[in-house]
Amino acid sequence: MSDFFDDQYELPDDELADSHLAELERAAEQRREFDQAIEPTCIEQEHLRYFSFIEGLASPIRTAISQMASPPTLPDYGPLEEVGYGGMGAVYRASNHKTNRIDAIKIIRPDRIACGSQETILQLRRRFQRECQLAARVSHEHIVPIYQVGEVDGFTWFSMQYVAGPNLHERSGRKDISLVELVRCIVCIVRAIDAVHRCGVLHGDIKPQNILFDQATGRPMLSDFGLAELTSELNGNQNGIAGTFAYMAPELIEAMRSHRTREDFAAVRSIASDIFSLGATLGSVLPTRSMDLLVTSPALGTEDAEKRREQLRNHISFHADPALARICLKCLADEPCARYATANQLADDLASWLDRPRWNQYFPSLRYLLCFVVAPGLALGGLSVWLLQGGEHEIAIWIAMFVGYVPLYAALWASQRVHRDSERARRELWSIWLGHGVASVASMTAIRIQNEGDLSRSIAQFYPTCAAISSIAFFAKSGNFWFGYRWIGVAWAAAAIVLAIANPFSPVLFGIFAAITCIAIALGDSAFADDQGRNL
Amino acid sequence: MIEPQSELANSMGKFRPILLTLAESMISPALRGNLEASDLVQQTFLEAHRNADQLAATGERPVFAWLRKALRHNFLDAVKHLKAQKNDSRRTLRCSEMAASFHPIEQFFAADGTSPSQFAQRNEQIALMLAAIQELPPNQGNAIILKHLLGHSLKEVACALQLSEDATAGLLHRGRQQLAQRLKKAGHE
Repeated sequence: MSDFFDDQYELPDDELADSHLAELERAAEQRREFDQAIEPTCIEQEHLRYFSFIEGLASPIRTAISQMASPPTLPDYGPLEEVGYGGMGAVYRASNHKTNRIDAIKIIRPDRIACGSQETILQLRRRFQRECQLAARVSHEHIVPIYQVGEVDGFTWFSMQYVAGPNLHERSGRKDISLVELVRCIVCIVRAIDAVHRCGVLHGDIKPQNILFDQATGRPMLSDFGLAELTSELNGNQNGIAGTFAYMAPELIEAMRSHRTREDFAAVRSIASDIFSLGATLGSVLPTRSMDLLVTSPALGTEDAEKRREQLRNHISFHADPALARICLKCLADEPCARYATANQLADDLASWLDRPRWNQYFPSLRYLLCFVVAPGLALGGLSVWLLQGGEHEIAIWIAMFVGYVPLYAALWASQRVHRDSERARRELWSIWLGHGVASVASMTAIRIQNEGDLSRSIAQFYPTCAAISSIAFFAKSGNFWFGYRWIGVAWAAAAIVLAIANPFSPVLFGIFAAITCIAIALGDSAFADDQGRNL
Repeated sequence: MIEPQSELANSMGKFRPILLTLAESMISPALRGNLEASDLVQQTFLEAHRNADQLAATGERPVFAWLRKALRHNFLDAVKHLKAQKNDSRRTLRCSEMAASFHPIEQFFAADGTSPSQFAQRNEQIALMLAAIQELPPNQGNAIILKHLLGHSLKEVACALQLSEDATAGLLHRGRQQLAQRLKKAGHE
């Protein structure tokens, strides 16, 4: 602030267009609401400097004036104690005399009523009544329940469960919660949103600040239906253009920027815009700087908003687990039709991400075991088959061929005994690898019978077949596990051809391919990552 | 006797724009048309002149405190009078509540010698800003009051001034530029 009084500070000569100033003004309002660290771009800097300067001087006076109006006294409730406020309503905490329980009370902000024009007050009342009705319409274990709705002294109010805990934004900032726990909470909220959508309601304001944690049970609860709307009544949009830029779908920002009529804004509001907000919320709890990026993107122009969204997507892809990033990015797609069609689909994908095996929990340092013990073992197995194929030790050859399955099945069996988490994923893995083993043994037996006395010919035919079976197995795994398995599947299909050509060195080459695959999986699949489950 | 009286007149001239902005901030858009900020300030100054003898003997700071207190009383009396006339509306503006909760502004300006110098300096800046708002063109001043002192959004300010949002944003930006320039000048004087 002091540099305003320096000689060096000069007022800029160039004038900004009014429409541009209006965009900056709204962006500055968003900042004030969230009180985030501000890192303005060059264009914003001048505007923001004046805004912050005057705002800094005016805010104490505003606070003093707003305190002139106090909340009303409600029947059955003791004195109201303010716990927070938003753009429209203030939330108080009060004790109910009849139930002897602490409830949260939401009332239209008294200062808004005291300072607003008659039209604004009427609009506020309409919106507030709508919020009561829509919030009471949906009942779900992860949605803050409404207890009572009433009116006193012209104030509409409603009481709801008092959720004392921190919100998701505050919670994700702490180090004591793992990513897995945060995603589990998001899954609960996504299921709640699905219930909201099934009731024909769009929430319209999904963000980490509206997801509260119950202190007693630790349950995440969705709140604030202030911008909710019935899907069947979108054309008669009551709320007009509203929302939080940081979590707002691009089509809404576009409508806001280009048309700015309620009808246009309502026309593009859909389940997909709620899905985008869920994706942005998910992105904000990932251990990236996505929150800062989102909040400081006031969307100055179309290109700028697109650039910043792209920046956010890059951050998510770079920092988050690839499977989780893929889910997140699907929600954040520019085209509404490219996003999840329902919240339930998103919840299912997130649940399957949570259910994926985390081998490191069962066997610490399994990654090193794979790289330095199993991979060399597989290579040595191939080498032994190649060395033994000229001799008469057929049993030894069979053992060397299939010994690689022993550590695999041992690991799957042991994981079942240690922990019963991710049961679905383990069953799938069992099916895939048991099938692989049975198919390999069956094909070797069939080839051996066909070739009668010629063992070398049988071995030469077996390895390309086994490579093709592996290709199928890795393709099957790529669906629900690491995406890289698809490329490993392609590589094994190519290896089947190479092995057919490379006779009599196919056992050695197979061993080398198997070892490389083992190392690639150990390094690429996050299920083997050392810090899995704590932080990504 | 003449000397302190003219000093008092000087002080009151200095405080006038500050009190005007404060009065305009207190009068909500719902009350505009029924209450005039300039009338309230005028009435406050008339009362000050009636008590000129007492006030002239004190310093500048007590005069400012006296004026603010008088302004508050006049505002509350006016609201009470309005309420008596229109019993049904304005029920949210309860005089007793206001009187009880008005003290934050009083406290805010009550920076005396014991307060940290930074606080005093900030109060000085706030007072300068409140005064400078009165020197702005009327539309700019109104926009700044609605936006920053009453906390309205751009849309609400535009609605209250019956202007487009773009034009309002222009008014606000230029108003803030002007204010910063005036404060800069005042800082050097």
